[in-house]
Amino acid sequence: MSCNVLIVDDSPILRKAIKKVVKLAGLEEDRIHEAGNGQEALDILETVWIDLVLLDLNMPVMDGEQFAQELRRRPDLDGVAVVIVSTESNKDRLQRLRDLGIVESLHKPFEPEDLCKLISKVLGVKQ
Amino acid sequence: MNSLTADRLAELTVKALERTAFMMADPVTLDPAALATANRSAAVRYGGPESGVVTLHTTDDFLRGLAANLLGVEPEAIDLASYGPDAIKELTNIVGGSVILELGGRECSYTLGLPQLSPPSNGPSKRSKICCLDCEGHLLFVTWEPGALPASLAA
Repeated sequence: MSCNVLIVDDSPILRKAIKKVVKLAGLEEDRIHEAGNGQEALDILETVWIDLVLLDLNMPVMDGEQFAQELRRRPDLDGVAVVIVSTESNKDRLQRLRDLGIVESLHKPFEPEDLCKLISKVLGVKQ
Repeated sequence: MNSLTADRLAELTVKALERTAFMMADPVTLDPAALATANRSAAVRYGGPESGVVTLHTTDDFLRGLAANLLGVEPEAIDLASYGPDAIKELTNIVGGSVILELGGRECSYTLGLPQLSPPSNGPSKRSKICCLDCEGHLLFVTWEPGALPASLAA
């Protein structure tokens, strides 16, 4: 699958665990990028075209909601798909993210197969 | 608002371990002496309709296994100083997320703070619920303490 994925999570060990699952979904390792918070993710988006962001919400520096707001302010990044991968279950916060057009989410803990299916679904729609 | 029993806390933790790290765990009877040997702890606070804190206590051996399973490598390959703290914080985050979802349901209005390393346990308080799990030969203790400081007040 020739798509670029960005994993945004403040836990390095969880980024590696998610990376394993993304590889199982058929993506090549050199197309999988990592960021430890929203600001690092924006920095990567300045230099690499990303098709899909797997986004944690509770992070230091810049959290996932702030990142999503910034992303939606940028017309040049309009085509970037976002899937929330988080422990978040606050209905108001999830509604604010839906209002930003982010409708796909996966609640931790998740089955690896569920993430694989979601990646295929989102990237399949884009292709 | 819902509440939690120690048994339900154990069920949520077993599910988190299975799904996140492919680790099997079983609830066992709490032994306070064993809790005193748990030298690694992390806590996450939550706020909302009520506040509280979820804390995990365990040992280096459990953390080595957890980190190895998360990374898909042999336990001997794990640098505990690098990965141990991150592994326990992430598991605490996931268990904490499961707890607030259990408390709030689909209309959840709780918010979860960031997990932090914490001092070893002095033993559970009277108002806390605690469970003990045997996870592949290593013990993991989980406490839920309702009424603790909300996430917004936790430094």
